[in-house]
Amino acid sequence: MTTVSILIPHYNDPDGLALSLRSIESQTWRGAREIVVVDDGSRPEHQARLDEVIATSPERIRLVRNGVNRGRPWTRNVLLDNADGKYLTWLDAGDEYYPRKLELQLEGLYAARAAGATGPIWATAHSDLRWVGGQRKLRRVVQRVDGDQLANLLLDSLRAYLYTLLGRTETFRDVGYFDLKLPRLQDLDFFLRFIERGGRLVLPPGDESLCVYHKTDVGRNGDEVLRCNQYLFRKHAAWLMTRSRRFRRNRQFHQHMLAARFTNNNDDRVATLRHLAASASTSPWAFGRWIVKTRGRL
Amino acid sequence: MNLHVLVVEAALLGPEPVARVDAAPLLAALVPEGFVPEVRWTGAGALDLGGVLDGEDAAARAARRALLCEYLDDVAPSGRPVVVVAPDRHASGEPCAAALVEAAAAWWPDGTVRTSSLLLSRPADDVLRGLAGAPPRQPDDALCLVDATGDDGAAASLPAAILRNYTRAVLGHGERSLGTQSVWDGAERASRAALLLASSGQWLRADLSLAQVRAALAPGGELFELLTRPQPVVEVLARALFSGDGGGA
Repeated sequence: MTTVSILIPHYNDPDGLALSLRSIESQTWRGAREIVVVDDGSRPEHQARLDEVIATSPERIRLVRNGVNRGRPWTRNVLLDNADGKYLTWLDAGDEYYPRKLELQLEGLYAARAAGATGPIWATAHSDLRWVGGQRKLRRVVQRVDGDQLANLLLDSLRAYLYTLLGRTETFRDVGYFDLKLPRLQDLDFFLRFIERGGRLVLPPGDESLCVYHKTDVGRNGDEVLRCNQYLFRKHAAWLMTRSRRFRRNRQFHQHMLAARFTNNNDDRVATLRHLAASASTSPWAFGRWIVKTRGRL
Repeated sequence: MNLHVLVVEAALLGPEPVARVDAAPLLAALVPEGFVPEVRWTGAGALDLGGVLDGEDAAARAARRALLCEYLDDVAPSGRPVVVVAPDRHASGEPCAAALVEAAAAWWPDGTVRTSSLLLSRPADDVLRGLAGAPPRQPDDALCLVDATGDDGAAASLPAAILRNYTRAVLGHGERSLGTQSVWDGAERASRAALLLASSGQWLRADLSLAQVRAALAPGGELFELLTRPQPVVEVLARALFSGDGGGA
């Protein structure tokens, strides 16, 4: 009987997976757990190393292969189908848990139930964010779970990072599959659907970060991110129309700014200028404030 | 599931929480290889499950017991016995540990549920049960496995918080039951006395009967008979506190 399934998508990064597995080995929570790794069609030279990493890990690991590269949402759906545990949690190859993550998140779920919560609950967590290959310092990402969680998700005060979550497996399956039309931001869509169905995110006891995300924008397509954001806007229009015009305009401004950040980090200056111009025309006031605050640094 | 419930008088577990780390040697001696879950639902991280198991009414308390059993299922490492510490009674007086044992036996029909009682000493246990209005334990009570008191009434192997809670419970009883007739005039000097004793590493003897305790607390009683290993400095401070003109102590 598995208590927690740890779900890891993998693509061409076996050494990153080894790092993630070591962070799981160091967990203080010692209940019955299983790791499910779905390889999304990695190149052959990575497949051999992947097998070696899994064979040398002391953890109980089940490897599933997509065969060909099918993308992140498809792979996450395969992971969801393969979760056997009462609870499930996510981790991307290359990211890490801190040692008390599972222990404290289980406490958080029980604290919420003891306090009378009856609907679906996911425990999220504060986390650290480290930019890969950059000079920027480790940044702490604080999750805000009070108030309107849908608004918090769109305002980025509550980040839709799957690896921060732990919850009962059926509460994830009840949300449905990850949207295959969203090569990016499918996790934000998943969070939004969970909240729209009456779900609630809670924090575990204490204030510590419980995981670290090794983040990079390199190789990510800013235009694709923008398209996904616009698709999300249409998909969740019924809720968004209950918000003010200013709220919606600000979110559109941030969509263009996010796309500009991606294109800038991939040295595409023409596209960056295009997205910045779109941001400025969407909300000149917000754009001016951004200029003053950051001196134009993305 | 192999569950071991250590039953402790509620008065020994509070108001000062007993830290898990302080109780670890005792629990390790009681159940070698035992896993002691850090149940932090109520935020304290203390050993005592009383706060976790308490609820507004009987139904709420039953729901809490079921939640605890499910939680233990989730956190227990496979193959290791689990040790939990539960108070004898809820604040309402309703049995707490016994109800937990019953719920656990129903939750794990194929498992084993064992119980032990942690006693400061048999006389001290009688004192506390007497103060709470509970009948004394039977001499052949199979639950009574741990008795950590030495010949001099000291109980150095127990977490100090338990000793301090005992001191507070007894002195507090004296103050409440005797009111202005007590040596501390009902002016909450009992709690100050308990703090004073705690700060000097002293606590009340655990080898005296309830009658002896009550006699010592009554007007004309000799409070020093209650103290363990009185030291001169404590004597001086305690006399200042107890003599009637030491209200500022």
